[in-house]
Amino acid sequence: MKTLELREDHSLLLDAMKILLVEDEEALLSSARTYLKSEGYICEEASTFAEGLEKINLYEYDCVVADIGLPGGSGLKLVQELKSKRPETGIIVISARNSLEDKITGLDVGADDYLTKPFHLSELNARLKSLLRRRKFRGNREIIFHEIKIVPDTLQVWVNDQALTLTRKEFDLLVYFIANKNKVLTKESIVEHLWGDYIDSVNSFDFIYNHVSNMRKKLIAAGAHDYVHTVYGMGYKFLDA
Amino acid sequence: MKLLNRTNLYFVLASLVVFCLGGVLFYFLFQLIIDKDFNYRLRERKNYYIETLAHSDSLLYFQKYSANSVEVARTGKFADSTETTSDTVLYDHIEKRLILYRQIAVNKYLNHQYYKIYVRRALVERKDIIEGVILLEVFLFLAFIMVLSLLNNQLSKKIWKPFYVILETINTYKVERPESLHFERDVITEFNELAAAIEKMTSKINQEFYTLKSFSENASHETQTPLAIIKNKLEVLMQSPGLLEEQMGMIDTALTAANRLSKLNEALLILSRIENRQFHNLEAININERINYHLATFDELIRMKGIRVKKEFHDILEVKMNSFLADILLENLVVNAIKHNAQAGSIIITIRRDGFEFANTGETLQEDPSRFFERFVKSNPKSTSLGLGLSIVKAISDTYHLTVRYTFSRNYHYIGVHI
Repeated sequence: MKTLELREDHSLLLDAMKILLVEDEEALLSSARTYLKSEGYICEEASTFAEGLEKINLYEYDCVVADIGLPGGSGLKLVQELKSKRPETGIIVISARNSLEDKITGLDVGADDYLTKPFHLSELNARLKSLLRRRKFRGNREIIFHEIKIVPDTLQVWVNDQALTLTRKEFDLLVYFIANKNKVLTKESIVEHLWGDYIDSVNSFDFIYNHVSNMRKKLIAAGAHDYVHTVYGMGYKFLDA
Repeated sequence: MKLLNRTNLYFVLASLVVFCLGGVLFYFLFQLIIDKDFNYRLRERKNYYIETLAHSDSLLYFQKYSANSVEVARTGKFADSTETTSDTVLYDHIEKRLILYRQIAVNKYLNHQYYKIYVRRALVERKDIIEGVILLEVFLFLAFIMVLSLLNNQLSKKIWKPFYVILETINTYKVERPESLHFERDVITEFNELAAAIEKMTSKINQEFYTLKSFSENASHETQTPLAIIKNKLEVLMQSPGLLEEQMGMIDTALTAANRLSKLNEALLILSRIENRQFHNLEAININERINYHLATFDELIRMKGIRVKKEFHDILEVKMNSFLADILLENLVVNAIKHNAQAGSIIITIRRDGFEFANTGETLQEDPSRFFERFVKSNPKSTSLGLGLSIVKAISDTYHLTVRYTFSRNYHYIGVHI
């Protein structure tokens, strides 16, 4: 078991977390790796079913991200294998098909979460963090970011120990920002994170601006630092500074 | 005009000609028979009178009571005793009119006395024969038509049955149905050939349809991975430090386009899966609950646009359908009512036992309402919306035999879904 460092600001570091990515598309693998490494994870990769199976038998991971369609076998088999051998490992399945059946089977065989291709890397990152938080830090599920403390279970937010009232979407937005701190988040990824991957999207991103600015105003009013930065042309960044 | 009626018409016309000719022939034949019989009887009468006259000449005194039927006169000696038959017109004192008679005139030497004897009989009038013949012909003709139409009705029911079966099947034929057409074979060659030709044609259409369908599905599938790569690479790229504003703008534009493409792909895939009936698990969906859920999801959006939502839930509506599709359907309707709404507009959602309806304020649309549920039809061509939302609503409704209708009245757009 790896030791968890506690930083001065009490935020839990995920640096030591070991992730296995099982995906046959090299290009996808490499971008996920780049993104997750920059988040401080230790990433290992497998590009076939056999390779994935070998790795989960040999090593211990905190989380496995597995594509369902793999050369040599189904990612769902990998999930079952992992579940019986190492039940403490978190599992996220990825499917190219936007299919309910895949999702149900994926979750039935023991996956913790499900993502549909194509997905935003920031979304994968947020799901990973949330999953690891649930699985690894059972007694301590709070997210602490400098003066901000979030309790995901009760949807509560404190700034300098002062309770802050946020709407559900603002709350989700804040968690999403902190999970992807120092990363540029596009408006699309925010919309999808907050409202799901619905078919004919509302597509007017003006309301995202309203949402972000409302949340930002509330945080500042409660005495928090102004972490939200607009990245011209692209979206927003939650700066850890 | 039915084929049968058409042929019957010609049939009747042809038989009319035949009946006319038959009538003429009939008339002459009739005439001939009557004539023969008439002459025979007339001769018999003549012989009888001669016989009578041979015994006594009382006939001479009684003839005046016989009207015109017999006329006997004593004559002087004559040379020959030939018999002549002729037709003559005489005045009938009883009927008081001229009547046509046939007469046999004969000279006879009986009991040392010379006689001239006329034996006559009123002829059947030609007019009467013609009348009789026509009456008969008309009766026969009517009987013929009646029998013909009765027969044809039965025949059309029996013989044409396979044809109507084929017609009915073609009428209800749907190309997306996987089962190919098959018809029972009949004794009639033409219908069998027709059935075979249609079976062949539809199976070919089906095949082409499925090839095309699976092609587009595969194309959509295969597009997902490259799209995922494009999106992820752009996302990684955009995290690079020191990007110029111009570069960021380009990355964002590319990413937005890639997103649109992948959404489009997903929507098309969903549509084809709905049309292929690939969603099986049916549950009783509480429409009231699901609408409330989706309204809650978009609550902030609704408030941000200042939209007033009025719920008129008169009944609790449950519909048996796939829960995933039910959510897509209702979400699309909720999003549609928000998206196309005016600032500070309103939404009225009505639920009754037989269906539900979304009404929202919004601009008057230029588009023809009947084309509303077609793919890629947008009210505003500049909008970035895919124009597939309502096609999906329609496809899902069709799957569960729900009728979906769009109407516009008094500034409200109504989309109603009814059982």
